[in-house]
Amino acid sequence: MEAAEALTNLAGGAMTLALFSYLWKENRAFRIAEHAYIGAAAGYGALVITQTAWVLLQPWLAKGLSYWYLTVVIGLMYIFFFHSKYFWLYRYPTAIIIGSAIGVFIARAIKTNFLEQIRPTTVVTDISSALLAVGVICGLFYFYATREHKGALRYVSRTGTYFLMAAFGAAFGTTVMARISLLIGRLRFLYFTEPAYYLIPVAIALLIVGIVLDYRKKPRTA
Amino acid sequence: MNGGGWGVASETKSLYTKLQEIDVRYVYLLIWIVVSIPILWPIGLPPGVISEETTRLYQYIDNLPQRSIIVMIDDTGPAAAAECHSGEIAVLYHCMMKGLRVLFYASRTDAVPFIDDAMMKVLGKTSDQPDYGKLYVNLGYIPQGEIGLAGLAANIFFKSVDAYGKDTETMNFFADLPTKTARDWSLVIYYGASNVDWVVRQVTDPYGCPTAGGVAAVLASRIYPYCWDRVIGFLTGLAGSAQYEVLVKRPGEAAAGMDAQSLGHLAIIIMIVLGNIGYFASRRKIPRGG
Repeated sequence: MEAAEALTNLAGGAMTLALFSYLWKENRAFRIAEHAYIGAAAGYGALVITQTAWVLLQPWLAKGLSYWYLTVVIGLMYIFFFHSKYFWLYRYPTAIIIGSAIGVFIARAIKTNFLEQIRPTTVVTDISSALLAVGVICGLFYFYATREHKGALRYVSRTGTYFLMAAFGAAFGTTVMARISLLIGRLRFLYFTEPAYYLIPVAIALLIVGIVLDYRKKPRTA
Repeated sequence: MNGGGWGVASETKSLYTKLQEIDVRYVYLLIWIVVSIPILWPIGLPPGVISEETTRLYQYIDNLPQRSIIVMIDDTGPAAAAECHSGEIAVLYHCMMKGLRVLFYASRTDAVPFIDDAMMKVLGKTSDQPDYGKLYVNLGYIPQGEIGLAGLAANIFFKSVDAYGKDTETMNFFADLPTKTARDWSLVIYYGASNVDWVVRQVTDPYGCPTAGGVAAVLASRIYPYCWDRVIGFLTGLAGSAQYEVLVKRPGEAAAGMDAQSLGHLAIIIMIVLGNIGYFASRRKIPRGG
């Protein structure tokens, strides 16, 4: 194993354990790891974005269309976010990004997310699709606030509540599954990556010392 | 009461109350132990029934003619990689076995290394081998999520240089594509923990290319509204990835993690049941109106 790879694995293991230490309590190791992660991610992201912007620019510059340098100037105007006097310049790249995103989104969202969803929701072919139709309609009535939920409407919105609770329950179940998967991923890294696994006894020893020190600091009652 | 120094007379708590007030750190410790044991000493629990979502994706890819184009959108950050990345590797392996063409791109900066990793694990190399530019191409990072995908779907040479600085317009991979748009694609697969609706919006509805997913489990419930006319199948978290590994007969990290996943869930289910018993039993002890 190369020294660089060993160091990377060691750093990965140390960061993982430092972040896990938050489960015991907030501590300095956790904060160092948290800030290092955010800093590294931001730095890496900035590098990739800069490289990509340069690559995307090249074909236009190769054709002699040097006015495409204007896009670099517009992008750099983001920096004025930190300048109180010229803050208004920051609004131009923001407006371009948000405007184009909304334009691309809205043009197709009405069809994809609304109109196209009505047909498969309302066409009943089996028990499953019937349940879907009932669930959507009753769920929508739960959010209907124009009339007081009395009489038949009360039962409809109550049924909608049950469907919503079932949906939240399913989402919670899959969330738990996701979190366990993340834990498995990190534990497999810690247990099977050399030399990261040497850090586990060190972390356990530090945790025990921490717990003992905490216990000794705790005020005793008579 | 424990500590506090308030001088309040100590009150005896019932077992049910204690059950609900248990220090959450014991729960973390228990989960750590329960998940660690099968990782270190695999039990070999059966993989269970392969879900309809996974089977549909497998069958769709399996029935595609050779040299069909699969576009893999990698939106996997380090957090989602534990769930989605093994599925991506299994699907890539399947595509290579079937002689399909795969076009990768990353829609977020921290997904870039995962494309290289998938290629390394399946093909042994990234760009420096003869099939690169013929059977697979990595476009690297394309910014702005939905806008980037809209651009790529409208013009395959939207990013005319790949992740390694090679010119895509001269690549054999794209030579026989009639429209050079998403109409030439057979399937677009999204990997990540965001949502597939932007892929459906920009590729499936306008160009007719179906969508699939290898998604974090938490996202699964948001995909069902698009099944099965627009999303033809998807892998749900680590379990879906493990099922696909079983289908392509190439057990990997996901299959290895399923013992731990199952035992972890079992521990959580037991704790939920115990917590609820404690809750209902302690509620019964409170006199009505008091």
